[in-house]
Amino acid sequence: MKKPAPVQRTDWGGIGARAFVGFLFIVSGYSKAAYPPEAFAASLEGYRLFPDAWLMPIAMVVPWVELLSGAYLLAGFNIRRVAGVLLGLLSVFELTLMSVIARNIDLANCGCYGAYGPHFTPRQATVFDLALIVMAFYVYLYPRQPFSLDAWIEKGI
Amino acid sequence: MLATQKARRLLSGFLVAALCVSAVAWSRRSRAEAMTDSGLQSRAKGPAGAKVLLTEFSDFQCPSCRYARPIVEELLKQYDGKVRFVFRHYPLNQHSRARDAALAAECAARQGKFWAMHDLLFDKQDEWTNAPDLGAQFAGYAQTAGLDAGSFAACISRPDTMSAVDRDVREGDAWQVTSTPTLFVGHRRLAGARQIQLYGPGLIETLLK
Repeated sequence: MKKPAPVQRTDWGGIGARAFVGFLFIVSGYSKAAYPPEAFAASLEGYRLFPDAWLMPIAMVVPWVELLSGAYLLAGFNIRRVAGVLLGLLSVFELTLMSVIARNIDLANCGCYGAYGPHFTPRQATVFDLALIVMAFYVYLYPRQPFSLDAWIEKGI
Repeated sequence: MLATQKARRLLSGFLVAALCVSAVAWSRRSRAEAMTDSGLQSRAKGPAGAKVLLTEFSDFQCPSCRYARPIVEELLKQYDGKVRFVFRHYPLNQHSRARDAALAAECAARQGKFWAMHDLLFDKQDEWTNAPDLGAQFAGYAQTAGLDAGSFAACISRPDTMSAVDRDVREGDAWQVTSTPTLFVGHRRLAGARQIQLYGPGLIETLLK
């Protein structure tokens, strides 16, 4: 006799992590992309890491990468690939913040969340980013999730 | 089946991206009117009919604004007679005493002493930021600046003083100012002391041609 297939439990933790990381990147990207890039370029100056000529291009591109990746992750589109992109971004942010702390640069606000989000100091942002890295890594490892565009693309409604 | 999946993938990717682009485009539509000196004679320097208008949105409690001050002053010296500079209040929410400082400067402006108070507030930023009694500290600065003490004290809490500061903040919001200092050279935006130093002279030169 054929054994019944094991009942698959919904991974609510994974869905929560995907929604949280996705939403946060939407806020982060939108709050910068919705405003002229000069203000974000000015925050980047504080890191004393990039040549002047790079600041405006970074300030124009990064918010869009954050916004689109966040929206795709929240919608559950290409989950594994997008989680991988966000893991890369988060790792770069983490290293940048650590270099600020190591060089004793006094930044009152990391500028991570533009005009809308919380104003974190580099130390607070380092801890917060680490939590995001763990969540994004979990989503990367377990990308097959219900309530996602990927599920709809694969199976239909 | 595979063709259907490919079509769904393309459609989903496009729709999500289109939604993001539309949301940003809607936010970035300009709500600002033409940049003028708004008749702010008491907070302006340079000839009224100057070819180039410099408008700075600033916050007296912001360290970057203090760093930007000598850079802006150098620009005004370099282009003396050719540019008009207007100071606009933009006290940031994260600076708990910036709005009080803006009110003090506004009251000094009403006695024709805005620049004296402006200089004191930036020179002594650390002092009043940490002062236990802010009112007494500002009263002392008013005396140093040669203001009438009674009029100054009465002015601070008057509704029209507050509305003058609020009007500047509203106009800054309409111009999508999010950080200080933000200097507009004509309509071109520069954020932070370094951008003002690096790109300010070039933009002024371009507008003077």
